[in-house]
Amino acid sequence: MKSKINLVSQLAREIEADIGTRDMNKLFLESFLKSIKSFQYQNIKDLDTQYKQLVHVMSNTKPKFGILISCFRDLYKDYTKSTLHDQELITLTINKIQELLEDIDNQKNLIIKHSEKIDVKNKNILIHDHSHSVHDVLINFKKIGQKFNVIVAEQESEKTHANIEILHEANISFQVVPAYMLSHICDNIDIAFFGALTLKNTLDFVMDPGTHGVISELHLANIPIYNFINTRKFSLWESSKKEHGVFIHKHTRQHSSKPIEYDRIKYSHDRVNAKLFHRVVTNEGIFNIKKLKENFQEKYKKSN
Amino acid sequence: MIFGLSFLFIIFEWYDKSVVALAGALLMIFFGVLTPEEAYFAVEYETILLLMAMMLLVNISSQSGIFNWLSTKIAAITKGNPLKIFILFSLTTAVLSAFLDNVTTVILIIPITIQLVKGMGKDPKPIVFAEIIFSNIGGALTLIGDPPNIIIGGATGFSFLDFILNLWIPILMSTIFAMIVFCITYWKKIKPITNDLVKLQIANILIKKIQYSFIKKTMHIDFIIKSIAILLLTVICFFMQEQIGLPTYLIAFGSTILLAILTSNRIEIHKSFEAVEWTTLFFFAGLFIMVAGIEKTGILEQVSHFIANSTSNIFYLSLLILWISGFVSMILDNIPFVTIMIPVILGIQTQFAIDTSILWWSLSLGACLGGNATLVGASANLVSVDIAKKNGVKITFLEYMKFSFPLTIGVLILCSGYLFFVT
Repeated sequence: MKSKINLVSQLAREIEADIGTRDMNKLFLESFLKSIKSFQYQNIKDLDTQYKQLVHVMSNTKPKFGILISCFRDLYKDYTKSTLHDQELITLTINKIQELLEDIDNQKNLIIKHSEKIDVKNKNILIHDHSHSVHDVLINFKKIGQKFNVIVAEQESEKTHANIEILHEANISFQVVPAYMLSHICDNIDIAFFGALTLKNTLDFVMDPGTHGVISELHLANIPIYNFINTRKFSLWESSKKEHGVFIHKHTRQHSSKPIEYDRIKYSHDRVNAKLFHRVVTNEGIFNIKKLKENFQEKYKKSN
Repeated sequence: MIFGLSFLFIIFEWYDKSVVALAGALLMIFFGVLTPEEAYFAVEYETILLLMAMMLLVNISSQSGIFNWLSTKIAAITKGNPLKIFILFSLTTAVLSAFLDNVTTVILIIPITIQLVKGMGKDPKPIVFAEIIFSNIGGALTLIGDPPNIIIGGATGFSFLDFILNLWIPILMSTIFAMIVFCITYWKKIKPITNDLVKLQIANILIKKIQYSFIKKTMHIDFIIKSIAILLLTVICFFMQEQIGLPTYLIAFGSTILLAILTSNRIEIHKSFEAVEWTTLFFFAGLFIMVAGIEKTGILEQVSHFIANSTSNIFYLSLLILWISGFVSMILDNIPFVTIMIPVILGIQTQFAIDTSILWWSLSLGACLGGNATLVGASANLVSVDIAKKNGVKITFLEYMKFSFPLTIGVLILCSGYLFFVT
């Protein structure tokens, strides 16, 4: 079981880094749709056991992904509650997966709709991570005729390129600045948009690596910072401050021109406290930190 | 002496083989073995042009993303079932190798398979072994599939169809035999996973990951259609070569130029020219000159006489060629060996009044299939090991040989049986 959890964890980390949390969740659900359709179980007990194992694997990835846990637990809850048998149970799961997939688009549209309340007219918006929610929101602003400019804080080249491609395709004007040079242009930034993987019960957001530094700098400069997150991504379980929700990759690296080998540590994500954000835009509305906390705690209570 | 030394340098890879072959060719001229004119005419330009044209054609069409699209589609069809992965990817490798060159095929197929199988937590080595073996088996089927066949085709004038008509039975037998041996040997690693929900889920996630990783974000439908149409046209023209009356190299060149013109807005042609394996082409040119030098000394004629006088039975003669070329190709580069065997077989043929074309098919089968036995037996094998290493899979000489050597012996025995029936 441990090796299976490790395999899924690695896949989840890689896919999340490539296409973002929302599309990763979609990919996992679509995969489950295919898996359940071709699964050949011996009897209903076998189906129960293996379904439970799958949910256990999906709920224990390193780091844990709130959105995966939420979806797979929902599926399993419906499955266990049902009085149906055999093939009907499979059909029930298939229908539920399809519902969840539709729901992903609905929730995306809700975030976009709520974001329209943000005033971006003639503003310079800073982005850093390659959050699909932020992309969708910016594309929508462009569509509804808002005039604004984007400043891309450069990070890993692939993610920066993904941002550039999206902005270019949507015909949104933008400039790119290395993230470590932001201090020079802080005065030009009016507002900043970020996306998050999850929100933990410590009220820390798990975000793209490098985000903490950028947000801290913007916070010091009193620039309004907005975070976009689907409430399904909330991590509705107990976690300590020490438990980062971050995967640590220790490895050695060779100097590019000298015969020097050195230890290097990479972290999969950053942890950023909610108090650094001006507002959090969700599918349920735009929250200040107090409201966010209340919303989280309500969900947390329901879930536990 | 010059040839022997060059051969040693090529075997032990002390220098790049193209440089060694060209140096050997130059020495043949400096020492007066050949005149510059003789050296010039010794080069089989048709063979070199065919190789070059096919390299260009494959490079341009692969820029459309069609081959990656095909591989990811196959990955999706397997639904992560290891047995299906083995069967479908092996067959795809064999079919692609028959019409593209083996090295290009393994470069396209192996990274996707490794990502799929390794990601499922399984050992990708058996599947990589299968892909190496099936690339050589498939390549042996056609005139353009493997360099030894291109050389044989250039020397004999056999058409594309001649190769298929004469080789399809032993190739089909070898394919089925290798499939069965593979399934028996690695059953534990390739048995279906449809009764394990978590494994199925992992496999399906991986397939989707492979789809977005390997398929280009922007695939241009016009580029794909043009590439498929020209590739199909090329294969049809190869099949109808006798009716068309054009040599294979001209067909390949015509197709390449046509595709380059039709897709000029999508490709950077200078990059395609850069992608041509010039070292291989120069290696061929040098080798042709060196073999002409040896031929002029009369040594090869004596070898032909010796072999032809050793038996008057065509079956034994074909067996001799099959097994010698098979064993030589296991340890040496089969291209110089086949190049040197060309004048030998031509010499043998002059001693017989009957149809001895079976000797060419024996040479082709031995040289192409013998290369499967070891990692150094064919260039596709070495390239596959390199690709596997880059993808985190280390394959050692012995672990590959443990499986491939007995399998190759079995395949050569099957081919011997085929030769018995046709002679």
